Amino acid sequence: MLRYGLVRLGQGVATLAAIAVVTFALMHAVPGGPFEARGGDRASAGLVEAQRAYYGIDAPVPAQFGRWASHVVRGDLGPSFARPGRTVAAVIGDGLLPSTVVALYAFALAVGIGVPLGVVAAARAGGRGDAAILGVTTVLAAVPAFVIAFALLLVGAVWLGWFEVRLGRDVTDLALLAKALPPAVALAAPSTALLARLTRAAMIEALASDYVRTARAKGLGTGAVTLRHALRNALLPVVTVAGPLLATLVTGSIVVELIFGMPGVGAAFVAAILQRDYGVIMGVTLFYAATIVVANAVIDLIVPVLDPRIARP
Amino acid sequence: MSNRFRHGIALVLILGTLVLAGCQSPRDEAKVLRLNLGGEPQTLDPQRAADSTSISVLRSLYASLLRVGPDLSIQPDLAAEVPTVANGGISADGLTYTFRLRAGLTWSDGTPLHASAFVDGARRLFEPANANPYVDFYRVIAAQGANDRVAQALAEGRTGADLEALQRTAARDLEVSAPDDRTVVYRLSRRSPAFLSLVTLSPMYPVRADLIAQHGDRWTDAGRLVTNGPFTLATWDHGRQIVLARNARYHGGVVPLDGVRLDMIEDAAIALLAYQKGELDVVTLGPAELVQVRGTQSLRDQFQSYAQLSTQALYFNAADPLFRDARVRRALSLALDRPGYAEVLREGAVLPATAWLPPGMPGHDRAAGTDAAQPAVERAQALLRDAGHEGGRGVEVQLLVADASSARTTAQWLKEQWERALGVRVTLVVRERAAYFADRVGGKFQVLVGGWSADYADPENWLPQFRSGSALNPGRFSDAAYDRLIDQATVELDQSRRIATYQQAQRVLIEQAAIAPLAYGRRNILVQPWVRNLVTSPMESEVPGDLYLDRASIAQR
Repeated sequence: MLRYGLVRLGQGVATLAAIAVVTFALMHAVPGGPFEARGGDRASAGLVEAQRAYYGIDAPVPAQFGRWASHVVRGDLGPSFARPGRTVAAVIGDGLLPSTVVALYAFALAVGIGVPLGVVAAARAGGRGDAAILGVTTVLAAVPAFVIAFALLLVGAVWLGWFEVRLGRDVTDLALLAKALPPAVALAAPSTALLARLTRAAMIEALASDYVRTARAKGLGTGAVTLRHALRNALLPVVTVAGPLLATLVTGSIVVELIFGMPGVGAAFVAAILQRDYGVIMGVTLFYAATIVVANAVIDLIVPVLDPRIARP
Repeated sequence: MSNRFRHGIALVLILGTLVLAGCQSPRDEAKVLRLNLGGEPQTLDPQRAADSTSISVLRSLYASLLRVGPDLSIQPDLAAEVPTVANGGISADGLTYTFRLRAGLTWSDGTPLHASAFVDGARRLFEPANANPYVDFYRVIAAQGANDRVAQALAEGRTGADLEALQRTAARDLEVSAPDDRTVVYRLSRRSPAFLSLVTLSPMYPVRADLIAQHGDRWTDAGRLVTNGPFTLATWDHGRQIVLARNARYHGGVVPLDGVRLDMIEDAAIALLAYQKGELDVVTLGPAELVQVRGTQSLRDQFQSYAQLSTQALYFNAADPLFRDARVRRALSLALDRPGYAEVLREGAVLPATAWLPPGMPGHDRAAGTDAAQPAVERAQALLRDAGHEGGRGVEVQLLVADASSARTTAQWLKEQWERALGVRVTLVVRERAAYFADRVGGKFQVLVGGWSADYADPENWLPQFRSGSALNPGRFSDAAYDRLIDQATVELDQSRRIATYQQAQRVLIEQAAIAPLAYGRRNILVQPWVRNLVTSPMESEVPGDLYLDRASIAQR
């Protein structure tokens, strides 16, 4: 177990390092730098050069990477170029809470609604309930999150006045957790549909399997058969995708954040790319990559619990 | 059993609906003006701020020695009077400016505001770490010659440790002083009649050096920032909202508003939605929103449209083999249907422009460039022929444009106009903002869609940038007659002669087609009926009325 943990940690660090190198190189290959973006038409070529020299971004890219990496391993993500006086850590820290709250909320919705829907559909496979669920999930899976977000905004905020057009930071206020519902719903919709369809397929397979027939033959009730025997086995593929799904929700909220005016990590990321705020681009990339690495590692630990045939790592 | 699942799902849905229905938009305080800032300001540090969003907020937080009135006149603010040669505020040689502060000035925390706060502010601007592009506006302030040497080094492209040392020397030796608590003295290295305008701008705001020393880079956080303007910073919810509260110690008397709420809604369509829901008191309309509002009867009486001191123009690269020839530049300018552009393409949101200095700006010249007021296609074709490009032969133009929907539309229109009227071939180079400016400052373009907006209402802010060797001359335009006129005007103390000289220079600029003016800017806004005294100005930054929010008030909503 310890060995496994060390190996996974090593793999994780190697993955992050590779992503960092590639991102750093690509970021510097894109034309235009932070001081052209910041100075706009008021900055002269000389002044832009002077500022690049002052902040050391006129050095060769490998040398810059070395300096950046040596600071990062010491926990220093450096200054933000686009927000003078603020650090990269502060800029990302501002967005962390709203993004995480909405992602977890969306994850809970996707699992809490998607899995039961899939079970219900499978239990009535071929029936009208199944057809209805299949129809709805097909639509939800096909419609991009931003369309759902705009629809929610138009109906909920503009027509019905249930919530403000701009949700903003209130999404982190626990008393107002309701406020996080619209962005979470928009974010969760495609994932809910995905989980429902995945669960349905796995359940139909499980319900048709020999051990379910055996269980039924033993005289067990429908509930026990569906829940204890079929669902447990059917959950395996669902749990396997749940890890990457959670990571996708954390990293995938960019569009939803922009539409609902949430100052999350995704919104900061987009701004940083446009402003060539190198430190923030690297910081958010590492955060996203780390989220995916950790989520996958956790799932690898959970899967053997559900299916002892899969070797415990 | 599936009943249990059904119940579970129903419960989740019902709970969701209940919590959704339970949240109503919070009731705002009655006297808080709710505006849209359009985005997160980069900083609220006046010496570091360079973007229009930050500057818009700073205007309500700080007061300077002088301020500009709605009629663009320079008025005293913290200074007791505007310095003149007659009242002794400006020395006879025009090099020393002395400001006498009003008595009893304080910061928002009650600390007396001394003249040294202006010295500290000016000095900080010149620190290389503050990386403010506006610093080059202020190189006219003497620093034992160091500022001239920095300007020289920047113009020659010399960077590195030497330049950095020189920049630090300029900051240290800056000739701004406070002989006593109520007197600020600025020494200039040459006569600069526009210096009074420079004093009104955010880089010259006073600062609290003690708080910067105490809090470091976090001194602008809400709860720490101490200001001297009509408002103070109450909260700063990064990426979402800034709330300003009335400064009870404001020297200009009691401010009618309790506060100002500045939302950061980037999308103009969403801002209009928020306005229509009553969540915003004022909203700026984008091109699409303008059309929508025109078609909505109920919004028409809330509509206001007013001029901004800004000009959209094409910049030609005079260092380019093709555009070195002024006839080619002129031809491209003359071929354009400017009224069609303003009225049809831009839906009347702008005015057609034939000159560089916009209406309302001292030196605006209605007669300048009028030969381009209507498309002069035959003359344009003749010019191209004279330049050896009969029927557009051999003319392949790359048009650089920043990636914004309105700029792209403009570029498409230009391409269509030029290809149809002149037979030239036009390729669009659409670049993201950062890359666009990299190409622009690097002179890597043939023609670009750009423009300028006034930092202060003086031709000095508009015309000297096209002088040969100017650091802000992306097209490398160079004309000996133009340079002479600019050099005369820059130091001319007689105002009418100065303006007349700038007007002559502008004629040269248009005739030589360093640029091709396209449109004068306007601002189109909606104002809720309960907003009173929203004093707009032709020199607004991001927020409508941002120069005079100390006067605005709100009647019963």
